[in-house]
Amino acid sequence: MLSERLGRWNFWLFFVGFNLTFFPMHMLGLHGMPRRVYTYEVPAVRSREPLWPLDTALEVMTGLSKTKREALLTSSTDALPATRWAMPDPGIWPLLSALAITLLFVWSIFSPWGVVWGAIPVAIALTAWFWPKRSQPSMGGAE
Amino acid sequence: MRAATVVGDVSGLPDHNFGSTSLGWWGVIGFMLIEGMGFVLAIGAYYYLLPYETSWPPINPPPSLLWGTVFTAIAIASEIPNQWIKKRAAKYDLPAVRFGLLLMTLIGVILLAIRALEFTALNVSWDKNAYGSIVWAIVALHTLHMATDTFDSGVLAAIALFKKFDGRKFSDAADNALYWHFIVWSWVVLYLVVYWTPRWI
Repeated sequence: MLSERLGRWNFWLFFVGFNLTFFPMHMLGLHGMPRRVYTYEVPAVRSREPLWPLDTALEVMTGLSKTKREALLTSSTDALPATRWAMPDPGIWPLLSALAITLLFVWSIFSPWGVVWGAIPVAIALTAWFWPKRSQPSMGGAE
Repeated sequence: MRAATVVGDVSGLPDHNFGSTSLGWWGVIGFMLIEGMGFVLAIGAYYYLLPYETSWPPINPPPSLLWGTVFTAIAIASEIPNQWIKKRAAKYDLPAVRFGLLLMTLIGVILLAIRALEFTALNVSWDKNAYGSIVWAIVALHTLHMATDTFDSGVLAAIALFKKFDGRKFSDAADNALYWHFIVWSWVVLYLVVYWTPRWI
């Protein structure tokens, strides 16, 4: 039998830990904080406590697009800015890929051939997702 | 609210890169960690089952060596063109990348055909016993990953031949080669587990 005492420890630690972590976010949400913000100015961090000194101006970087989603990639250890990585536009293929992979796994419960035949719609959907779109700007470097 | 001073401008940064400053590279690294863990769990299951049997394999002879060994040799040799295409992709060498992607797709298809022969030489059916199930699970799991990368090489080859192959795609071709490293070297470990464990214990 699994330990009843460890089970109680697990439950209460999980319950308290979860709410300590996420309940403050819940309060922030009620105060109007949106879930995700991608138009923040990128802070230039030079110390371990960049937000603490209140007397100096906050140092920020500009230049990420304000009209499309971009991720800023940096070097791994020094976090020096390296790449502006444009994120893909919204599209139908992520949804269709998710539906196709659901079909594959449900099918595989009933027959091992579900993995084989179910892989075909998954491959089609992922390929269409990956295929270059006319709406996407070309990334430099070639031809 | 603190006032903000602009101290730099990132608008001049490149829109793609190679290695750890490319988002696709991190995707492949994360994928290798997740799938590598899947292989570790499968190997763990193999050695978990082993001591429950009086002999290993329980009834059948061990997997025949021929096709598995041929597969392993070709897979290791394929690292040479694979590493070459990775280097050429970072130099934006379109003819080399076209040729390399087609070659890697062809090597993948040949290896898949050899893998089909390997399944006939495992000397056990997947539903015979626990040993048969875990051996088939390990080889099938690896086959799934290899088929995925072969298909990925084929799609990239088609884009390189028929569409505009921009900088991001060259970066993708390099990441595709990175993933093939994982396919080859994870197999070397799995080959030792599946083919040599029954002979060494």
